[in-house]
Amino acid sequence: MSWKNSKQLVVDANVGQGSSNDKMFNPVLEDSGSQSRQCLQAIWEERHVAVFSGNLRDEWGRHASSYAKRWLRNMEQKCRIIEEDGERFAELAIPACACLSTAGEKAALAKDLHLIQSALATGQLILSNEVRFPRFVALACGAVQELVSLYYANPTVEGDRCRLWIKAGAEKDADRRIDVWVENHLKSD
Amino acid sequence: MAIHPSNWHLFGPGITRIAVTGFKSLATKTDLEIRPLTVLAGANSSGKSSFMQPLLLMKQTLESDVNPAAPFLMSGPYTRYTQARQFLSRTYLPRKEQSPLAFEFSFDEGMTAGMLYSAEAQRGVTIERGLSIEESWGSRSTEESQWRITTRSTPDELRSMLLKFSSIPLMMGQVGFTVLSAVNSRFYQGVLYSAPAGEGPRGEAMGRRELYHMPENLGLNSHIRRMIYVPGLRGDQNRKWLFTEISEQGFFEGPFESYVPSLIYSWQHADDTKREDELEAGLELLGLASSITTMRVSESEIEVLIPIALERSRPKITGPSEALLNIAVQYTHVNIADVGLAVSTVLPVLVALIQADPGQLVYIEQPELHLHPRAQWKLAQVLAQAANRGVRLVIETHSSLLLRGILTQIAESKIANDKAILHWFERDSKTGISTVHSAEPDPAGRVGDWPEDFGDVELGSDNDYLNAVENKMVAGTK
Repeated sequence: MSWKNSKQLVVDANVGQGSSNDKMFNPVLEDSGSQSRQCLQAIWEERHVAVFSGNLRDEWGRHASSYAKRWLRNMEQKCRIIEEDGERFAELAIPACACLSTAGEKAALAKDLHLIQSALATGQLILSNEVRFPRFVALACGAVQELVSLYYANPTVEGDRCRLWIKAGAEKDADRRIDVWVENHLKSD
Repeated sequence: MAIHPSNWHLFGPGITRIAVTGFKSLATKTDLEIRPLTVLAGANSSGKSSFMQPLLLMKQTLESDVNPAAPFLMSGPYTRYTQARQFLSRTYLPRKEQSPLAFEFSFDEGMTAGMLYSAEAQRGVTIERGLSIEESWGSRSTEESQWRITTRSTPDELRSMLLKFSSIPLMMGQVGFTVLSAVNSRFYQGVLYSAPAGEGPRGEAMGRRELYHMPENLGLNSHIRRMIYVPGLRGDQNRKWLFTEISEQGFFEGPFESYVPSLIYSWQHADDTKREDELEAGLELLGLASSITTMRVSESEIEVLIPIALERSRPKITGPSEALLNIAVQYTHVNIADVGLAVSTVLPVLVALIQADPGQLVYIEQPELHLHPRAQWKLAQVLAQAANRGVRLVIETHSSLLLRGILTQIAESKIANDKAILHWFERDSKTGISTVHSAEPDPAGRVGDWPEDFGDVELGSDNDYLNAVENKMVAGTK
């Protein structure tokens, strides 16, 4: 794939954390290590760009597996890392959290709001192994219109389909819009 | 003894650009900038060594007492050719599109020199014409700016060519030089002209003189002859080495390795121990030895010794005699031939880096050879230090760790990014022709879309290994 087709993806720290085969320290589903790693490898091979906020970089620094650290280092060397905090979208926190009912849910969304901010300021794509976070975002989509422009992919939930999507160009497919994705993948939960 | 720092300016910044055309896989013009830290990388047989071989051909020609009939001494200490066809490019391109052999250089402050050669089946390579004056590089090059002299040119034609130089017309106007003819000398072509009888600079009477205006007079020869070449095939496990003379001008003829023990010996017996200290610091940094010493065992032989214990330093015996030191080290040191290959392999690298003067070109093939990964990474510090002194390093490497070490040195501001340049060689699988992608790292030590494939290999091999482990584990649980 040519450089001009590369996309900007926010890559959550749990993808870096899950990219080793060391399941002892892997807090997400058992198969996520391999799936996450395949997705990072696909991002590298297709020359996509990873978007990091200050918060996200800290989380990567604390949790990334040895494979993910090497991936990050190589991405840095090739200038395929963008620093973007998306501060101008911070004001969305209040209306988004207002859509949630419990203090725990509000706190959970607020904790990961930096992913939303960075994504909205760049390619609007988020790659994460989270399942709670996209559900909260989907709940807030009705009240906060900007959130509808987010697209989501989850290596653990989707398996190899996620890797293939990245390999195919990480396009903003309709079924990846975050509220649609939640509807399709998490409806039965 | 090396060149005194106060005289470094005489040699200028050294060779700053090299262009090679029609040589082996470099069938088309490969024009690369040479900075204090120049990295040549790429797959095996991608053309990295071929790019530097013209300099080796020239160096061995200049060092030879024999003036070969061909422009170059083809077989010598650095290259082993017997016929020009062994290094002339052979491609599938139509004859009209094939570029003839040409070498061009920029050096010091805006000086350029270059020659175009022709090749014939029976005669081999001959000088076709001189190529360069100050405007001959890249897009600025014009037909008018190039030398068009040949040995068949008439004196009038030669004179009109010379008048295009900035300096020559002045000289010719002042003292009335007479152009005689174009001449070939080794691998150069130049113009022979004469100065009439008259007064010298101090008013003394001078007869008619014949003078050459040739690239070799501009200082290029000095840079080529002073080049230190540390080849990939090195690390002789000799127990004793010939005690060699050290040139004050920085000339090292033949294998540089042969001079290493004597250079260390000279540093250890010099008033200033700076170079000896640097060498020991380098060895310690690489985790190879805490110190090193040399022992003259006869009038013509010398041994290189390193301490048995990594942390035990060399006994510092002052005063009495070298003999006393020799006795002492026999109990505390071992011959370099008796330790791992890494020390004898990296020693010429460290000594070359420390010995070289600013502007002196040091060409090292695989500096990382036989080194532990940690030492490969640390070696970048030593390279950066030498480049910061103004030495012109050209290193050919396959080490991703060394490359990352260099980029880290840049990101840590230990060396400015504009002092380094990376050249990635690739060879077209169909035509066999090499192409080069160059990149200057940014101040953060990043190289952008430079097509280096070390990352592909690292991540691919990690991923394959982890996949294989997982598959085995899954199979084991079934």
